[in-house]
Amino acid sequence: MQKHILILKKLRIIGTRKNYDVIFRLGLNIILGDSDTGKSSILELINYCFGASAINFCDELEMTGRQCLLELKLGNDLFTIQRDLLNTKTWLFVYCCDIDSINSDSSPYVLSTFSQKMAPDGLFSDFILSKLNLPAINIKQAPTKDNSPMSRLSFRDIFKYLYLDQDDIGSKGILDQKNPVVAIKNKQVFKYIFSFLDEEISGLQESIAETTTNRNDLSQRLRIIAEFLAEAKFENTKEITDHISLLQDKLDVSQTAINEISKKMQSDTESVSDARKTLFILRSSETATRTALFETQKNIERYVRLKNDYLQDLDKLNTSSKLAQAIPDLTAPKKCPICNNILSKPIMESYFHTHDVEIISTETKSLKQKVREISSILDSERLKQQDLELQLEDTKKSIQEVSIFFDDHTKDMISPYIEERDALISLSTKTREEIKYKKELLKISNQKTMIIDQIESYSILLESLQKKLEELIANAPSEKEVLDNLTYYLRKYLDFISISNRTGIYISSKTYLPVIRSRDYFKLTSGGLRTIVSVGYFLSILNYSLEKETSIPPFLMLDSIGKYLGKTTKLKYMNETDANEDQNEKISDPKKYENMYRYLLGLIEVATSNKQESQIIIVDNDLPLAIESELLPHVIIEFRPESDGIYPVGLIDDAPPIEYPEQI
Amino acid sequence: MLDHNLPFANLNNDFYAYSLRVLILLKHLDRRKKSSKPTLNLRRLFLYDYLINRPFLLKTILHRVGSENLIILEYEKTDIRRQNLQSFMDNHRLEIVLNALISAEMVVSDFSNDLGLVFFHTARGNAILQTIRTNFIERLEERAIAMHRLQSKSDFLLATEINKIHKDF
Repeated sequence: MQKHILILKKLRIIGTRKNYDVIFRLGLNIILGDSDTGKSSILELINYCFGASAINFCDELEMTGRQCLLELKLGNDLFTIQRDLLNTKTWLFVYCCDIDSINSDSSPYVLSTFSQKMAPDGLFSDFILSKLNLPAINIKQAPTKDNSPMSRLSFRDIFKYLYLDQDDIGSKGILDQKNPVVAIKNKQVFKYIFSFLDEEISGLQESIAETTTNRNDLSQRLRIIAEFLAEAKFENTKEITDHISLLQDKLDVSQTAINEISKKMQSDTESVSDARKTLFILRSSETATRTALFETQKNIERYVRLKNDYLQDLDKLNTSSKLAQAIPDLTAPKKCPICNNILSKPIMESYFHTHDVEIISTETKSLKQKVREISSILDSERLKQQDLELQLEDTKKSIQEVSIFFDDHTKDMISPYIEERDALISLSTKTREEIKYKKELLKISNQKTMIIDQIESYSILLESLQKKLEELIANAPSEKEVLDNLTYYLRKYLDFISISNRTGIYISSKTYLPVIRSRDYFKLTSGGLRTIVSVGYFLSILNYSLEKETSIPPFLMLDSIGKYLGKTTKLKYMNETDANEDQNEKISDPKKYENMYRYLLGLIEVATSNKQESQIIIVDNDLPLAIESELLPHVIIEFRPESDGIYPVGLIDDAPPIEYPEQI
Repeated sequence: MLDHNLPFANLNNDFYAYSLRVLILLKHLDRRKKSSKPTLNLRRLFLYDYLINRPFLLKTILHRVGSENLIILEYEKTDIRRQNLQSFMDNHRLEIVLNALISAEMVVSDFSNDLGLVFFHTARGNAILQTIRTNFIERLEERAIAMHRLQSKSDFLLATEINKIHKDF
């Protein structure tokens, strides 16, 4: 039963004016057409639907196309891939139905390519690989190193062996030969395809890489720890344990001594407790006396001020009274010298207080009484002040006496204890620190032992993994076997094409690319020969997948197989070939071109007889005349702009004429 | 008009205390020099009386004109009162006091072309003042002596300064 099936059914471009469909069949599909009619764009669109990061549009497609849909069979199921043509960063949608069954209720997988932000349903590549029954594995970036970093195998890597575009066909840079890093990865992919790098081997290699990395990390840690322990002059574990128990004993002794001293200090402290209490009472009394004294002083000040005020008033009254006696005759009416008005006592009284003798006398008596009272209060306050001052003096003396007693006692009784206790505390702190340090060392030493054990277990694991890997590799198809088979298919193809001098033909174990006349493919100077060989190499892989177990579907897209075979129409390719060599090789011989097509027909027959679902899509300008009738049934679409409507003018058959600016 | 029925002596509005102030002002400030003519007219006398009765205001004015001689007592520091401004505008009471003192022949008046009616004390006025010696009079005389520094200042300047100080408060 066929394991990997990839068959295209239909390509639809959703345009601004209408949709454009291309229908594919099982077996050989030929797309014919004149230059710049959009036939290569069909393969480009398929490539884009398979997750290419960009697409080269022809002008008509760029102006018209909006969406691209590709209906295909993956494994035994039908899917439709949908991708936006205007925005390459938009996620891909994969519907589980044919194109025409898609409706608003269809719920697609939303997938992303490697260059996009991760989509909800994961990577498009993983989806395709799983549907093709191909394991998604990680492959080594540097195959010769055990701990090489791994990278994810992508469907795009495998697709390189399924699509030979018009730039790569016959090119010296085929399969990224000009980029050594990608070329190395391609070799890994080649191994994957031909199962000498299968999933288990790859998984094992990954485990070995991981284990080796872990072991190396541990070795590094071990080295650091060993250096540290050497610097710390580490004794062996037993010595350290003994040392710790000794230190612990020392600590216990110190602690007991501290406790005893504390007890003694407590009993001695009781004897000064009374003194402390007395001191407290005396100090409180001193504060209270000071406050009372302050209050008394304030009162004295206040009363003195009041007394002065009364004396002032008395003085004023006295003055006023004396003047009244000295100016006796003010009551008779007088003529004002300033205003000529008559001045009389009633008028005067309306402006001034003219006190009679009685009021003044009463007021004077009252004030004198107040002065006497306040003097008496002042006397008593002054006495109180004196008492308080004496009391304060006594309290101060008592405080001084108790303080002296207290200080002397503390100095004589407590200080020696404190000194001894401080010394012991300092000693026990040091001992604790030492114990902590020793314990840390012990911990590190134990860690070292653990690491050594772990390294050893990693080594054992690595050994068993290596052994298993060797067994797997021994049982897998050998590289030589695969390369010999591919060589056989290539030689068969070249014999069929009948190129001259068919010697030194094999697949290089170094590059996994063809060698012709003992010369590497990319050293061949004839572009025509390179086209024949590159097509042959890809057909050999297809042939292999039809007859033997591989990890690649029997599918191939070839763009412009007539390149350098006398059918090259694009000037840019002409510089990459040696015209003389092409002539020597008799590349223009139509028989060779014809034979290539015959070989393709033969391969389809092989697929049919093997009951394999296979598909080859060819893009070319025209067909070899000798077998045109045999090939015409395989032509799925033909673009001829000057056929007066017999054939469509191009992929976008309703494009308005484009007006290019005139070239200077 | 004033309330006469107070049960105690109101010394701030006492006619004799006012008369005493006027006599002291005339004694110490009526001439700039002993030989010169009297200079105290009604306006000037009013301004001087206003200041001598308000020791804190007087000290502030003296400070502004550069004299720091006057020492005032603690209780004299609080003499800025609300009615100050009103009494500052009213010199009728001074006229009554002067009238009474002239009648008692303790003060005489004269007419000056520059200043109008000017006043000065008589020998009788001085003699009566000499017979009464109290602390109150001594304090007033100290202030009057300190006010010599104001004799060179115009009425307008003194009135402006008093107004300014009132506004500051």
